Amino acid sequence: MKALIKLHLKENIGGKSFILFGILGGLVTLLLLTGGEVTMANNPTEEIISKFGTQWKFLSIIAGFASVTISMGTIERHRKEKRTELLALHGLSIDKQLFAISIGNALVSMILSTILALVLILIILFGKAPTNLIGFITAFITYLISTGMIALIVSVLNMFLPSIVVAILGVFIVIIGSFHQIIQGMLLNNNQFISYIIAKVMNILPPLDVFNRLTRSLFFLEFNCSYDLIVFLIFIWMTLTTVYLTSKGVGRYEKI
Amino acid sequence: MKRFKGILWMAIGVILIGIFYIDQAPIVDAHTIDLIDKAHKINFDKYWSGFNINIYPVEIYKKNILKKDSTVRYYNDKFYEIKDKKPIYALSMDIDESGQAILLVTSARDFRSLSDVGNFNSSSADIYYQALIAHEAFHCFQADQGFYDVFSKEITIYEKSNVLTTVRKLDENSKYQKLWMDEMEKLIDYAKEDNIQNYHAYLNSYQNRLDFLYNNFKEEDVIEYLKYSNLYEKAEGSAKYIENITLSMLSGKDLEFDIISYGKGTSKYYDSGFLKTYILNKKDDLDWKTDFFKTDKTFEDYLLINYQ
Repeated sequence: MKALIKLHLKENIGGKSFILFGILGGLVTLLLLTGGEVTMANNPTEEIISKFGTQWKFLSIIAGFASVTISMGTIERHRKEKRTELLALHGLSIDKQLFAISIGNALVSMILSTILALVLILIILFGKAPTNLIGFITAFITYLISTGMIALIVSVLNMFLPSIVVAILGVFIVIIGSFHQIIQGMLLNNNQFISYIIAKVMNILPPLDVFNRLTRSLFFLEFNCSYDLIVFLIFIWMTLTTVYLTSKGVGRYEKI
Repeated sequence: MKRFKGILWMAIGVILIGIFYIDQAPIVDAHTIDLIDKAHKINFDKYWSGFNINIYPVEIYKKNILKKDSTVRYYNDKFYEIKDKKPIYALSMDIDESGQAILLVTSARDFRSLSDVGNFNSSSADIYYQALIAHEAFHCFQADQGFYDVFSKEITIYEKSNVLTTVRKLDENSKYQKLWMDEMEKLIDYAKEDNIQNYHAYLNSYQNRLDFLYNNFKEEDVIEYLKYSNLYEKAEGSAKYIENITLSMLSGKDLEFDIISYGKGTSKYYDSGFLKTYILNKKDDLDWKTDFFKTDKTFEDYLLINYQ
């Protein structure tokens, strides 16, 4: 299984999309750090907090889209290839292959997210940022895992659905997830029964904005985010369990 | 070994969900209560004597996991869940069946979720939460003065009138936008420095806007539009003033008077009303607040009288 993950990484790291996303991430970082913060009169937030906070928010959204782009067709492609059968003949069952590709997708997305955040990392290392090493590392880990989670969800979808549909659903998940709490709030505020039900159903979608808030809290050394951390851990657990069970299910179906 | 791994993995999930469930506050989380209590202690005597946040009951929207969401009333340090009332997910105010003005809030965490697009950290979100509590409590104060009834009645009339069409036309008119922004700039100068030159500059700018309105619209439409904008400025501008004062007090920053762009709809009246409240409040000899919400007086009734 490890060999397949390594192979998947080798095949997917590099190429035009990586360079493109690297440039895009750099541009967004520079643009936001040179005056792109969300402003309002009498804002109680310090300017530097606002700038880095907005930065993390935008980067996580772009990383989410990048993750969808990277992962959307991989499972479908793999199942069409001859090596799937070959690997199965050599003892790597289909469910393990699917699980390995999904994990591989998550790892590729994490590497891509690192490239996206490269300019930000340089600015943090050489400039003034309201954090320290522990704050930055923990924030960065949560940022990477969030993107990895999107890749896993997209991989699960791709086990059932064609790439194009997965791409649309993936983009939908990133947009809804990035503004999950705001949209849920609007629905609850709507005061209609159907809106209330949709708001409650939304709880099963990954709240990427809560994960991003956790990232920012850790980055700004505010370690009072136990609720966000628990939600984050629960979603990691749920996503990995879903990937494992779905791979098993699809693998068994393919055998038949 | 494989089975053991599976059981361990399931156990991790059960523990995480268990922690999440136990972590839910039985009534309202302590942080929200702490912030409401802090907001209750803010003293506004210097800015608007008679206004007191802590006299208004607070109703908190409580999200529940295994049952329907509910309302928790917090009043005189006591809590009780209101089971037969539909909760409202907003920071707002309302009048209950007994005629009491009440403050409606979400929890502090939900508030941050609703307004945070990367521009907050937890301390600034807490400050903003308290400032909005002050804003909404000021609407309760306005209601106590009888202004709520006037506002509700007038708005119902405006919904059926021509004024919303006038507002839409003006919002789309670039010349009117420029005139409005010019007036705001003059108001900002006047707010920053209270002198006769800035007073006259504001008067001229206001007159230019009035001339444009009367030259381009029917007289009855202009009168209706001015009444409409005065009503919103009075309600929201004065509450915005309280909100901004709270932000300044809690953050330790000076008040800012920036207006970045023309706000469509009613949003612009928050800023214009704030500036007018600030200017009038600086005039120590002027008694304007005593009956402001009890009568149909507008900011202009005080601003346009001879400079003092």
